[in-house]
This record gives sequence, C-alpha cells and structure tokens, in this order.
Amino acid sequence: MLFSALLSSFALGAALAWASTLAGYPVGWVGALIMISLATLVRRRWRLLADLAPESPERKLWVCLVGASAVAAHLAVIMLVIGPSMQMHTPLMHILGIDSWTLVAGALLAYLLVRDANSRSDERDQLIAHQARGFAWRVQFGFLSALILILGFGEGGRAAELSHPAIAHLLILVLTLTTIADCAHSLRAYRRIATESAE
Amino acid sequence: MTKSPVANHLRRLRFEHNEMSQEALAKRVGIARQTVIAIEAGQYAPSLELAMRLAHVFGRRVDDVFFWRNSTSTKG
Repeated sequence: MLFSALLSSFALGAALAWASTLAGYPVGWVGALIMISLATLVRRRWRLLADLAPESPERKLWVCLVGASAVAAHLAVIMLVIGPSMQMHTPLMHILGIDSWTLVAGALLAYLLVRDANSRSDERDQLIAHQARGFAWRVQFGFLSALILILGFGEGGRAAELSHPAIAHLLILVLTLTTIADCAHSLRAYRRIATESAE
Repeated sequence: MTKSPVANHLRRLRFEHNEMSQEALAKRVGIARQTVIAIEAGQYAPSLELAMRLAHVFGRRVDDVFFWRNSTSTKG
C-alpha cells in the first residue's frame, strides 16, 4: 500500500511535469484536482469503516507523503529537462513554481477533507514521529554528504556547470525527499503496530 | 516496535467494567483508540503517567494492571 502510494505519486508528479513542459503552460491544477478527488473518495470510505479508519496524525502523513512525492518527482523532471544551467524567471521556471505551489495547495485541501476533527494525538504518535525524525535525519545526512562530495570534488564534470538556482533547487529536492522519508517511516510504523496488534 | 516486556490486564478489566469499549477507555484517558489496541496487544508500553491514568480508570494500582511477561525481566 505504502509502496504503491509512493510510486503512483512519483508517477503523477513526473507526468504533470512532462505535460507542462510539452504544453508550455502549468497543468499542476490537474494534480491538485486528482488529490482532492481521491481525498473525497477516501473520506467516504473512512466514514463507512469508522473502526478501521486511521486517526488524524496518520491521515496527515498519508497526504504529506502523496503531496511531497508528487512535488519531488515534478521538481526532479523539470530539473532534468532544464539541465544544470537553470536560471530563475524563465517561462519553464515559472511553470515549475506555479505547478509546485498548486500541488501544495491541492495537498492542503486534501488534508482538510480527510482529517478527523475529533481525533486525538497521544504519546504513541509522538514516539513514532520521534523515530521517524531520526530516520529522516540520517537520510538527509546521506543526501547532503553526497551533494557536498559532488560539489566539492566535481570540478571538471557537470557539477561545475551547476548554477546557483540549480543548487538551490537540488537542496529543495533534498528537503522534500527528507519529508518523504519521515512520512514513509511513520506510516510503516503505524502499519506494523496495527498488523501485529491484530494478530 | 517489538513486543513489549510489559503485559497487562486491560482487556479483562474493560470487560469487568460493564464491557467498556476501547473507544470509551481511550476517551477517558485522552488517547487514540489505536493506542489502547496496541497497549492491550503488548505492542506498545505506555509511559508511567499513562499507565497510572489507565489504572486509575479501573480504581486499581499500576502493578495490578501491568506486569512483567516473565520474572527474569525484572533482574537488573
């Protein structure tokens, strides 16, 4: 379930970036619309299966995972299309900005739809979040270490061609991937506890 | 999260108290229903504060509700 949600969201973000590049105008609203429609369907399902439905912290993580994965894939594809000499205030960069914020807005609206206003967050949620933060920190450390080595030692290669906006967007990608790692780790913990408790 | 070395009588106590539901117990102590499920299944060991709140609901002491799975766990 977690893996399929990740893959589908990456595919959605990549497809949107590809479509925006071909069309020459932002199509991020399609992604936002898909997220909102899915959230409406999920809300209906969770209302029917009230006893099995996750609490708000877990719901927030699902929306965060889907939204961040779509944004990360979208950003990665646009960066690949533009290349290392990325510059701000070009038509494609404006499309990237508009699409990214539209996807973030879509994810926020999706969360408002699926959240459970009566839900409680407790010490178990805090423990899971704490463990996930530790994992996400290690993931971030790994990505930043790789980036430091590439920037520090890649003098002659494509790393030397990286513009400041390209480096800035690489760092945004690292932050987004860290968020995905955090959400995925937490959701795996919730799933594992639920499965083991049911046995 | 591995199985906690601390087990409990929560399920039995709930049934002895007018078959109190997990949701009702969760509401009484201010936690999520899934947390009650995880504690009962031994998948999550509550903090001392939460253990005391849970015991208080049934008018018991903490060590009437929670116990070591095996006696060797108590050895330092």
